[in-house]
Amino acid sequence: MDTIPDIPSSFEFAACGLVTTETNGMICRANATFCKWLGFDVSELIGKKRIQDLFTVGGRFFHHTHWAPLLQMQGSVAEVQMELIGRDGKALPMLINAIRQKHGDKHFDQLAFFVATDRKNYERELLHARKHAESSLASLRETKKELQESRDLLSVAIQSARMGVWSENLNSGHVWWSQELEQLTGFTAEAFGSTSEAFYHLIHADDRLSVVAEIQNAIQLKSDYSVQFRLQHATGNWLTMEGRGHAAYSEAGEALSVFGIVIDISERKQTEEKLRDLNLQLSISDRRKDEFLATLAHELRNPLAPVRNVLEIMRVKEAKDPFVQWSRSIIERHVLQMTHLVDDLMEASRISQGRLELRKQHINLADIIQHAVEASHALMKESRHIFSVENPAEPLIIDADSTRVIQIISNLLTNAVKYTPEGGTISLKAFQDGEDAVICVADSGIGIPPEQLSNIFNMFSQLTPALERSQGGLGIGLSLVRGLVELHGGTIVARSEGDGRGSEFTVRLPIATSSMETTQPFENKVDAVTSAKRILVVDDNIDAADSLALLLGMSGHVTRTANDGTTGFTLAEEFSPDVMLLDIGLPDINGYEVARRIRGQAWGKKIFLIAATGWGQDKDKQLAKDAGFDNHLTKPIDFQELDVVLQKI
Amino acid sequence: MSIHLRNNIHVHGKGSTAIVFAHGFGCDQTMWRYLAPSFQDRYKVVLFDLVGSGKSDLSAYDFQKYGSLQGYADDLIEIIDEVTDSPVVFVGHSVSAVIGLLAAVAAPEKFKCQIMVGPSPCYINDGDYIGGFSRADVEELCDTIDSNYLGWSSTMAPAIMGAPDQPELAEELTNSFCRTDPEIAKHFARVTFLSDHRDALPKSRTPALILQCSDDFIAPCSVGEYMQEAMPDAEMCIIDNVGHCPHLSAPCASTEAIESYLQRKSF
Repeated sequence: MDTIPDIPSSFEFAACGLVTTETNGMICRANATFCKWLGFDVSELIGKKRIQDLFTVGGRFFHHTHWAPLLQMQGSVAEVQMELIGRDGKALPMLINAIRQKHGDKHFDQLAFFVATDRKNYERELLHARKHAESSLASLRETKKELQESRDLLSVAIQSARMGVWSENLNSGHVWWSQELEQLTGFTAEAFGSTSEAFYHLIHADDRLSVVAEIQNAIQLKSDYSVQFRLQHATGNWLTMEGRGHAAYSEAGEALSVFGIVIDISERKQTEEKLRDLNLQLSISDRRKDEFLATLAHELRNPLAPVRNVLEIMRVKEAKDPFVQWSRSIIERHVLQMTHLVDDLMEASRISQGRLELRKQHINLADIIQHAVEASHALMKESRHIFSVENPAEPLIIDADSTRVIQIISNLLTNAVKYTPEGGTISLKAFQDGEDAVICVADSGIGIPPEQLSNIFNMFSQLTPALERSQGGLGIGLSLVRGLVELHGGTIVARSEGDGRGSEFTVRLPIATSSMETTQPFENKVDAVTSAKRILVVDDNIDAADSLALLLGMSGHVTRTANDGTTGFTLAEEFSPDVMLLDIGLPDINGYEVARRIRGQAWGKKIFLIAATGWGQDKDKQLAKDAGFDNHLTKPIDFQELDVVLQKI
Repeated sequence: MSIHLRNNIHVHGKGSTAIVFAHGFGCDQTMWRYLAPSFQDRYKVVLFDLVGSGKSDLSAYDFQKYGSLQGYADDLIEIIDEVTDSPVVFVGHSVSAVIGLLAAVAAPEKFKCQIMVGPSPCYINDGDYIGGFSRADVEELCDTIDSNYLGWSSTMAPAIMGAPDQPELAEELTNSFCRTDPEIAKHFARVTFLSDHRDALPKSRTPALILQCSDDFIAPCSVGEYMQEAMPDAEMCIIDNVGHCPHLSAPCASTEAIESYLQRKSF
């Protein structure tokens, strides 16, 4: 009983299936373990089945392609995994070792089988895990590659933006900077140095402290810094740089490191400077243009004065000859038109120079409209338009310069008449809309093409169409209107459905907020007879002086003229006039000086001194008052206006 | 890249005519060890590994190029050009017999004759045609291959070893059973056993000898007969052998059949 099991029994009941086959696979021996696992009786196997007959199709394939050749060549195969089909048709995963042995003259294959169900499961898990690991690895590689690609891309971007990146560890003092920063400075790694001091050394001495201060300040305030400085390139040239960045902090709030970028803004700087120069030149040219226009307008007005005076003389003289009457009326009409044009031009250029001042008062819009309508009456009648006026339902009080508002409305009405074919309709409406007083002028005229709507208020906007239409213009009128409206804090909008479909101009002016007493825009004229006076006219424009003197003479006054200051002063003493009309711009001494000298004489105290100035600004008026003038008129002298003044003396 | 390295080409023997041996699925050029030496007295013996097998350059394995047997046929023509200027005697086992067939159709001037050992132009049954297998059988074969190629894949091995600079370490690992990358083995199995090149048979005018085993599970006699009928100039010789590798299990009979054919045809 104490002996170990005999060999045949060890063979039969071994812990593995044992099979012996011929080299062609025919089974010649199989142990009980093998038979039991597969459910065969040993008699069903021996001499009846080849081992490959128990394999699945895939297994038999593999037997042919791998197993048999290897067994043939190396005499053994080990750890082959295959499924064997049992008697019940079920597949059993097995692990197989085989060796080929010579016995006598014949070769036999010895095979050992182990059931490998669990192992197969483990391996399946293992395979699964491996696949997972492999795909993780692949995605890691992909991510690394993408990271590298985006780094490369960033580097290209940084380079082309002429930027560099750096950081400094504030604890260790270690400084890192990107290759791009080196490239910007033109220094190679060695020449660039390896400390922040080396970098600071490249900064212009005048800028160095401010750069350090800005960065320190940003670290303390936990804010971003932005600083411009000059940096010396390897070639010795100075680059203009902009540095930006901020610090990183520990949870305790201690600054750990500073990150920054440096941008080469030399080109931008240069462009900015060029742009600034260009801008300056442009504004100088623009100012010169405005000055030129103002001077031109002024110079054009002066010759108009004597022409108008002479026309007035001609009217008073009442020539009998109908041809002369006809000629006079034509000249009169055109001189009037030209005077308006020149006046508009002068005022528009004054606005653009900021030299026009408003005399604001609280006025009732309805009164203003009445005046404007009266002024345009003749024109409307002549063009045979159907003209309607709609006044505001309630009085609308605006804080405005009445003369200018009349100018706005008349200009719009003149414009409407001009661009509406004979017999059209023109309407003027005024009403309240919220906090605005609205004045709306509409016509049935030629309209405005959409592309011109935004442009129409600019001076010279109508230059091109003027060539295409008989009714053209410089566009001064609308430019002046807009300027005047804006000076009043209002807006103007033009609307048109297009060519041939009429236009509509809407002006909005703010309604006065405080209630003050309204003023009548103009005092009613008192028709009075001017008593004859002794009048001295001093003007270097001989025609202007002579024609005005002649006109005054025809009204019964006694007149003298002088063409410079000294003569004027001498003549004043000699002639002892009641009134002296004194031009300011005289060739020798100016009008202010003449006035002062006259006032300095005992005989000069009582003379009524009227100044004639070109610009008519408050400053000029104050100067005139200081010099001793009693009144002030704007050149060229309008006879009617002068007559009003003379009546009051 | 050198074609010698890519296909691990070895040339022995003397003779003006080259005899080129191409191995089948599952192994490499060493399977010709019993057969090739008999020819090296009279022929220039050329042995090589298909890309993806044996000691070929695995990095040259392009899944697209080798997605059809034509990719291997193109390689074969390059190999022939590399080793000789004259037409060759080509000996192909199993899948390589079909690779040789495709090459001979493409460049017939490079071939004296083709010896086809256990060939099959199509493994899967198709109507009247009996290839011997169903598609499911081929799928199962691929599973079996999978579970027997636990060797590390070429993407994984260097990472596991942590030594990408020492590829020989990785190679040791994958040598344990077959030297093939499991992904490649599986791909090659699919390309081989799902291929159908029956249409190439009538196009091949190169004289052919079909060595048919009497009992071959993979290439049954019916397939050999089908091929002989379809090819314009083919003889068939049946070797008494169980299995798919007569050059291993019946090398003498195989050699004799080839020798007598070559002599008769004076190649």
